[in-house]
Amino acid sequence: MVSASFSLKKKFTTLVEVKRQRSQRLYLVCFFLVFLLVVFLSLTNGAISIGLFDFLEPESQLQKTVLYEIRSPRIFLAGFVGASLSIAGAALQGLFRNPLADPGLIGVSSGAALGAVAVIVFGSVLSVNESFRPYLMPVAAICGAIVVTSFLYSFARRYGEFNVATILLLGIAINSLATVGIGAFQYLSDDGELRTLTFWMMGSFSRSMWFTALHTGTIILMSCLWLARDRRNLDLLQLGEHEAQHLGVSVNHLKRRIILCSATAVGAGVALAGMIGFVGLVVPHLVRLLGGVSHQYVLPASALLGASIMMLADLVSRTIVVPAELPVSLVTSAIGAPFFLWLISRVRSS
Amino acid sequence: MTICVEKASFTIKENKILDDVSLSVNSGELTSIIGPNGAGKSTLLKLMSGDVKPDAGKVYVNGETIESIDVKRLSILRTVMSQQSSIIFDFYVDEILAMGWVNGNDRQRVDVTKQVIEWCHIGHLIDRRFGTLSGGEQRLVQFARALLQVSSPLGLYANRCLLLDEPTASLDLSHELLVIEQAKAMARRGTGVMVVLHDLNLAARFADRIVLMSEGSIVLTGRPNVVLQEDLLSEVYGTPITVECHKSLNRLVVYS
Repeated sequence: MVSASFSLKKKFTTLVEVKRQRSQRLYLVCFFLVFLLVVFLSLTNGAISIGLFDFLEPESQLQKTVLYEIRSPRIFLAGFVGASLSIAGAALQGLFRNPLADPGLIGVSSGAALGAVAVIVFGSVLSVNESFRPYLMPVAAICGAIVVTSFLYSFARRYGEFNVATILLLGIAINSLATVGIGAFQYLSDDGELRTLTFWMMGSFSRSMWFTALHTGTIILMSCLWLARDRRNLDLLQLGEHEAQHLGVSVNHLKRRIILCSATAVGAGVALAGMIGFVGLVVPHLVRLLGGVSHQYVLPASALLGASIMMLADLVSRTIVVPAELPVSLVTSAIGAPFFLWLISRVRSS
Repeated sequence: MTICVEKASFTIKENKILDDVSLSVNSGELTSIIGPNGAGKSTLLKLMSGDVKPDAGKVYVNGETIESIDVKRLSILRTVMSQQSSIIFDFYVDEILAMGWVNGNDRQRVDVTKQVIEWCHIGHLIDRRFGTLSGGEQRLVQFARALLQVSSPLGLYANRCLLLDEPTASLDLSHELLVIEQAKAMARRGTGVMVVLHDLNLAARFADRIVLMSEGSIVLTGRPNVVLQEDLLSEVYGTPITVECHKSLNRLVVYS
């Protein structure tokens, strides 16, 4: 009798694990298919629509230019920024052990924005080597993001664990501080700079070029891959910091790596595309709701779904009011903010 | 394998939590730390697990100072089950268990997991979300995870330590017994087990050695029948306590 019930449980354990892994793999495949579909839709739709399979052999010079020089880099950048925000969101939520940590909400994005704005306004005054000039803004944005994330973390260390409300309040404070800084810079800027600024603050992919997109893509790819190496450690961290340490994770190094990588990924994206809210919050949540919470699955799934959602939002923003364009942040916030409200009610009730 | 605390003191904001404490965890022995609230039991355990550093004195693991051992290697040498832990994201129970597997391959992990599930009777919980379990069930799963850690790699129980901080808190009578019996079984396999307990009867019944603490220092260490004296316990706990040898159970029982 005892051995019979034991063998039953025996099968059960392995079955649970195998079943979940199978379903997670299935979700990953689905996300990938969605991703391909969205890439395809984004390539073929726009102010100038391109026939279903014409994108392989464009008919006219105009189509060719639109496709290769304007649309492709834009889609490329949107995909990478979406993936970076989502992975960074997932990693920060894991680090703070708080489901409401989003690069935008907790102020990492505005820290990056402040850094970038400073360069827009003061960049011309700074005497830097001409060849380094294009990198000035990403570097400043990344530094801004790192400063904010480290500040949040040291604050958390000093005053104990963050609960859900504290981190949002801190986010409000940091966002307001950054707004003050950005406002001051706006006041100091001339007309041309102001236009660049406003446009950029709203978030947009409309000025994508291959040169900058490729650089940003590389930075984002590297930091995301680096983050993905810590997937098991992020899981262990969910048991608690001391518990993770007991299980062989060097927690301080882990935290430093996560802060550095997620801030780099977010900062690099913000430098080119401006502030885009809610993607880093919504995507990891959808992913967790569907397939489970282990980072082995959450990180790659967030990347795929985040890229798809961002490309889709960009597609909407550039096609809905042709020939004009909506800021992409407007689209993501329109979807994200109600989701955020729903999430708060869910977190509160549990 | 031993964890050795040598003349350790620990202070928080001028409050002496531990004062010149020396103690070791011995292989194959279940040692129980008892004492009133605030006696420094948990802090002593944290010292042994390397969570906090003593202000004075040293902690040795197998003769090496604990700071000189890399976290990964330390995770194989000693397993800790802490008092409180909350998990925000909703892992499945089997994922929580798998986190305990710190060393060894996946094939072995499946075998050991089955074993641990049988030991702790948690087969019916395995496909549930951790967040949906009751407090006692969560403790039981955390205990099972600790057993998994002390069992990885497969079957090497000797030369390792298992530190448990009130593992029986919020468990019912039968699960209380289950947990302490499994801890005892680990000791018989050669592991050094250190348990902080509030229930003196459990300590009397299962401990090979009892450490009685009061106000940050060790009052007495020894076999249960040595340490569990009526007048000593009454003084330390500040309430009259009776210790009797129960005739039909043939063991010490403690009540107040």
